[in-house]
Amino acid sequence: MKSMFWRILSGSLSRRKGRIAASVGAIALGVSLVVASVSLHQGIRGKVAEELKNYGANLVLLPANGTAPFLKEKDIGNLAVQGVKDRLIAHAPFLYQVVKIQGRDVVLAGTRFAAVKTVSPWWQVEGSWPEGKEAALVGLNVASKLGLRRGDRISAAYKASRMTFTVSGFLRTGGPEEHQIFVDLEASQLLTGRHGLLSAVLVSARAEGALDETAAFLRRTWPEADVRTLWQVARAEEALLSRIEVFLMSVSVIILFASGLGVFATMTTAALERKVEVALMRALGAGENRIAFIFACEALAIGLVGGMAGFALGFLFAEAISLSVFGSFIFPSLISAPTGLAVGIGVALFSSLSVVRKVARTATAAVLKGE
Amino acid sequence: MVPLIVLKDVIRDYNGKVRALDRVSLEICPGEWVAVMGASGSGKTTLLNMIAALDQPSSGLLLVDGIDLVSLTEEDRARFRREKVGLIFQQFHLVPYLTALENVMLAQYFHSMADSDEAAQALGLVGLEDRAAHLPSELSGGEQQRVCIARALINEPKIILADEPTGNLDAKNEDVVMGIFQDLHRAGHTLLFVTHDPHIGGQADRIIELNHGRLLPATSHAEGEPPVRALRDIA
Ligand SMILES: Nc1ncnc2c1ncn2[C@@H]1O[C@H](COP(=O)(O)OP(=O)(O)OP(=O)(O)O)[C@@H](O)[C@H]1O
Ligand SMILES: [Mg+2]
Repeated sequence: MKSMFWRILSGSLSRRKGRIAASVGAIALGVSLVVASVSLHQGIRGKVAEELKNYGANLVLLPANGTAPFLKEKDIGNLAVQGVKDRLIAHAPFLYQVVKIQGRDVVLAGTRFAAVKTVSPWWQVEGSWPEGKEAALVGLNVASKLGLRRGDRISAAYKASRMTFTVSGFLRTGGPEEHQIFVDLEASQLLTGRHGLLSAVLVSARAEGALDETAAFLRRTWPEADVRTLWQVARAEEALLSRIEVFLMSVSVIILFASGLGVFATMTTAALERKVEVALMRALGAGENRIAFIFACEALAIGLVGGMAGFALGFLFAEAISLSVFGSFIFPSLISAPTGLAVGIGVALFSSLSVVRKVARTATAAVLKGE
Repeated sequence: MVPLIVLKDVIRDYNGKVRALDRVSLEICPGEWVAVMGASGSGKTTLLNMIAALDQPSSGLLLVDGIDLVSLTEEDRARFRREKVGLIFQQFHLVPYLTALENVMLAQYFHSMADSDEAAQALGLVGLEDRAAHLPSELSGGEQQRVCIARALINEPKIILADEPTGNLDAKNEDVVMGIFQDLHRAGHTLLFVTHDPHIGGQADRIIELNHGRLLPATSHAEGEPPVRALRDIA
């Protein structure tokens, strides 16, 4: 047999379809805005941080003063330890040495080109990136000084050893790299006899959160390295991120308030219409808690259904916006679901319970008369 | 006998202007059946609301079953109503989304425990057994009034307060309802009901009459013979 509690609840939900639908709709709309704004907030932040990777390296590791003049290549494992790894996007090793080419002094830099592409994405290569140990990427300045063309063979000499490279492409960076020649790391180590040694490591670390913290971490895990921040890049990234953060935060808060207010207005109107009903229950001798429980359960049901519909809707909004702005989906924010549901259920509960409370505090006769 | 209901110099002012009850003093004994009469706006509903603890006097003494209603909190008033009184409202006040049966059960639910068989029986008593599953909007005014009566009686309250319980009834149903009141009276319930009909009022032990919030001194115990004053005023 159906209990009276369920009769009241199901009667109210099934026989007041119009009102219930309006309340569920208001909550769904409000929650969808909250969910969309929170999701976009999180998503945009991630997207911007992602795009900022293209700014390249923001940390450089050099041999620390007073220790060896080179870093050890095997110590690169220090960048993969727990707590550091997640903060880094990419890193590229470099070994620099002045060598003689066609009788002139030129800086020869050994590196790994695959890593360079992520750490220094702004490098522009005319021709093709070097492949193998005998290919070289020649800075534009060096190329014009030496009169080099693609496919030319150059001979580099360091002390007694000598190696030959083929020019695969030219490098344009707008920086000192245009005065250098880049070859494979192993080849340069072989030529200079510095097996397993490095002059520097360029690191591209995540800009969100303090870069200083990452640098401090690195100093601890790799004491032989002197960690320096490339401030121009790093400052710009962090400033941009924090400005975006503030902007997104304010928008989210405004949306939270606006939609909360909208839901509150609708729910309160719906609840106020039931003042007489609450007063009747009071007149029949129902305690405030008893009535509050009935109304709270109803509000909970409405809030839950509206909240879930709103979550789905908000999620679709966010993905649609992300798709049109970034051309890709965003990862659904985990915090948006509880935030959205909390707004929906919270406002539904608050507005219906405040009416129950108000009626319970007023002379029942007056409310019954419709005052 | 110790009176069940005592009002002493009860005044009820609305907004400091309208005086709905003006120094009303009244005692009603347990088991007594009292008819309240008087012109529209004379304060009959206000008087009933006082005794039902639905409203508070602006000043004066109000005791029901030994309980000082003036000093109660709203929560204690609700308990008082639950335990002591059955109410029949002038405007019925049925919950629109509950069936006739469920509306009766609602009073049981808040009182103790809902019992659909008992509620159906109460509806049968007022001749509505075949309307149990109807919503209030699907009932006539007289039918709604009878649902109200069934709801007021279901918990067998000590005091029954009825605001024009026969106002919307035809002669046949009026007889049915008056029969129920007579049974309740015989069973020892205290009845207070408002009526404009002197013949209905005449069935009570006593008629009290309100005029602009004041209780008229003339009261009657003559069975079936309402006081001349009341008759003249209403006509
Ligand atoms: N909330 C209120 N505010 C102001 N005046 C009120 C209020 N309620 C009732 N009154 C006034 O108090 C007086 C008594 O009202 P009451 O409802 O008790 O009359 P009544 O005798 O029941 O009339 P009726 O037979 O029409 O139901 C009336 O003059 C009415 O206008
Ligand atoms: Mg009245």
